[in-house]
Amino acid sequence: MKKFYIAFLVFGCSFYGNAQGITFTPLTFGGSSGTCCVVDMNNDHLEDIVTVSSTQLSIYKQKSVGGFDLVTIPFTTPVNTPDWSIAAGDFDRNGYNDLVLGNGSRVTVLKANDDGTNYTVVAYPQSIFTQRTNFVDINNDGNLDLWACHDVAQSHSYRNDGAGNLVFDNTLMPTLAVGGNYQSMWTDYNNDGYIDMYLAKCRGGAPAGDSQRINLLYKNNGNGTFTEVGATAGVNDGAQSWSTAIEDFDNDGDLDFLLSNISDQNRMYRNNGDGTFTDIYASTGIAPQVGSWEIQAADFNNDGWIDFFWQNSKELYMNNGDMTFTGYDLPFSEGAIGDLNNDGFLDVQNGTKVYLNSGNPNKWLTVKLEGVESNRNGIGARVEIYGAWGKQIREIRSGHGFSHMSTMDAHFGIATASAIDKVVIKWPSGIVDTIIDPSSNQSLYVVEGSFPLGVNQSTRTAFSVYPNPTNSILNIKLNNPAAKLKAASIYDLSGRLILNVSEVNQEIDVKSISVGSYILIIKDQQGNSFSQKFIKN
Amino acid sequence: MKKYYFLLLSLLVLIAIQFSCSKDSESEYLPVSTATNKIGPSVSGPIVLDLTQVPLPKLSDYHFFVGPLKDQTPGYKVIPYQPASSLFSDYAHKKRFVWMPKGTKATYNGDDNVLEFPVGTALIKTFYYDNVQPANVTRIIETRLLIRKSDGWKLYDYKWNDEQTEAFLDTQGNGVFVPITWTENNVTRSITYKIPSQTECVTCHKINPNQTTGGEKNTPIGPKPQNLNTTYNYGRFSRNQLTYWKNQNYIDNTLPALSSIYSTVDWRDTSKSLELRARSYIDINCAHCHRTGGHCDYVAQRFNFSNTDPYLFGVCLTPLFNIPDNPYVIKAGDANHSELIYRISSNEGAEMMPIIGRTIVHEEGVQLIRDYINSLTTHCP
Repeated sequence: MKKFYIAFLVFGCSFYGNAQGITFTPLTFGGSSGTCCVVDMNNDHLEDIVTVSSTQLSIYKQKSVGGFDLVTIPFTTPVNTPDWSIAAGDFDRNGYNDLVLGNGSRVTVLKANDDGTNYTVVAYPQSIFTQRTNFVDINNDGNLDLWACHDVAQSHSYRNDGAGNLVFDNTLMPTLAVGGNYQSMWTDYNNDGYIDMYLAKCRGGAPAGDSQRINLLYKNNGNGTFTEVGATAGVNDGAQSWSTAIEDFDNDGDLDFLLSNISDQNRMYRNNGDGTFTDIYASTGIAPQVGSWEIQAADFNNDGWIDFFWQNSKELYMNNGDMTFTGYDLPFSEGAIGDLNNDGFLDVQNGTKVYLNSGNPNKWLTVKLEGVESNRNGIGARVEIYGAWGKQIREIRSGHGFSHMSTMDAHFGIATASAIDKVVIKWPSGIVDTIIDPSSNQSLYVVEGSFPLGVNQSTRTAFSVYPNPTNSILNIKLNNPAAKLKAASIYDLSGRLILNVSEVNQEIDVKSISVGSYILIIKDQQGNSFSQKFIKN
Repeated sequence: MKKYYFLLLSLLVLIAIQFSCSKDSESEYLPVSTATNKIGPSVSGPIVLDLTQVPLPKLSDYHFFVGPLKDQTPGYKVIPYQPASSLFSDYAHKKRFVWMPKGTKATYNGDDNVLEFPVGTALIKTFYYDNVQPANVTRIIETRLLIRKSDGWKLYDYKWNDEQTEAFLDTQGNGVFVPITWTENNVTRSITYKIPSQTECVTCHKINPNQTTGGEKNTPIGPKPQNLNTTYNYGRFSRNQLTYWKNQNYIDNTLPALSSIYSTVDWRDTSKSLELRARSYIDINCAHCHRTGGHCDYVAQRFNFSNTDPYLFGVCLTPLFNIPDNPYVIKAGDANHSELIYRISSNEGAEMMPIIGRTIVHEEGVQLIRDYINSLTTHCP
């Protein structure tokens, strides 16, 4: 009898992944999805799980005490399910995330209403064998556009008209007019502040060297146009490719491309920092096996180095910190990543399960963004943290790996470091926020433009201003009526002092300053300072 | 002079007899519907197709059919045909026809390759359901045309109107969703039938036969010698389809002896071996993508009937795309752990096979492949 217990125990344990001090414990969350989505749907700064069937949208809202509350929103007519991809983003800036469903026939957008309790189904008539979808501000006008890879013809772009509509318009981003488009990764590979795009391509029947299967790199020229530079950059891989993980795997301040190919060989294109890449896959210790259509990357053990998982036989590879990786077995091989129990360690949702990361003593920082001038999600923003380790960088993206949607938080592990010197957020608008000396093991919520000068400010919004935008006066409304204000200053976005205000208990006259975006900094009598962005029109 | 008149008269009579014979034989073809007050088929003359005008706006513009269009009674030299096994399309019924311009013939190009059809050939395929609810009527949904022009095969779709009097060219090419409920064999099913978009047509109908740059082209799928080497009931008589096509001057002398053609069978024909039935089913349902030059040729399995290597067919072959608990494409003797069964039993868009062309599982087809896999005695390591 004892023997059976032992056998059962061993079997039970084998269901856990265990790698470099962390394990993943499966938890049934009550829903199921093959194309997975983890994102904050109700603005409580906790990640939720979204599943979509043809008849309803289900949102499993993470509770602050753990677990999930299910909200279902039935569709009046059946929708084309997200069989191939899903992505989230608040493209109409109404404060609630919308969803795009990548289906083999159609692209459908689920547009949140003004309080996030219902969704309008927008089914686009264009036939498309959709692969990867993304919300991304392609033309950098502050509004999220929609991108959809097409398996058998030129990929689709949908232009945000600024009035809450996404309009099919391939002139927005005309890529090579052939099929075989599997995954688009929007990334600033050359650190010039403009978002570029790497396209993983695959075409059955096409021989090696055929343009339908050569990966492409679209470099943003900074003026709304893109130039394909895959060959120059050295990333024009001709294998059959389904997805790429783009992260700073070696923490040298630029982004490296890890290709999970399904033919020939995988690649680890290390960024040389000069717009070119070198494949160092052979020295990474990653097995040469090909055949993974998914790859997802994040720092799972909070040691400050980006790990990844995919669908090859060693599903999880932990980053050893020297551009080598060690493989481990996992009970899952794909899914959406996010902190689903709010403990500072990244979990994974796939199928009917949430795989909860056991965590370890390592410290962490999560940065949550809200764009003002830029798109509301901060998609395309670069988040950097500095400390004893040097520098780590993350990009905010919508659409991860081949099909899933992972958290849009920038998540960092800092191992045992005692302090974070600063967090720098470079927004697509060009605005830079700097937070000096934030404490670790916290979620930092940053509204665009609220930390322009790197001073030690509160991370909470203590007041609001109205009207905003304004053309004449600003009123200050205190969230804490007990607070006593002392002084206010207005800065432009490059940090120049524009106006000092000594009398802060009445409206501020801003008629004299020119049209544009400004930061209002207020000091209270306790010496705390607060900031708020406003627009003069 | 009299003699000449007599000769001429004889000739005319002979022509008339021949004409009516061929008309008669084709009038025996079972039409789609059994319409009441059906008028007899009118005499049709030779069809002339001006390729510069193709695609024509309406299906009736082609004059492929005589009598009410919905009966799908083929006109002169429009020959109905049926591959030995059929692609599963959500249980839709199908009628298929071939027409070639006068004086042109197809050429044999291997048992497992589509006949090399002459420019101007039209392949016609009509999709319909019987016992459509609530009125329990036959409803034709679409007619697909493959027409060979000088620069290759063109793919057109004609959507039938609700009155079932005409089908109109889909000029948008975005596909159409058609909700439908029907009853067959005491089972009532409801689906959203998908008329394919242009790109969906191309996904299955393209091939890069020699895997060359720029070598991708459109192609028919069914009319291969291996699939036509079966007896077809033309009405008054039954005949081997290849023989009939040859007799109708639709295939030239390159056609080899029928006995030498390595041929598929009807998967429903239980007098045939399980292996032949299963491989025939898989060929017509899977092999247009899973063959060299097909849409999914980067995975190793080769599902074309002409592939006789069991390993390449998937037996004990490790899948490129790993599915948990399914270590082999076909785990001999163990259908429950075979990727093939997993995928043809799935309706998940990114997992199901085929990836397009169906929205529901073909229960009978899955059972056939289960039985076949479970019958295999090979032991996968």
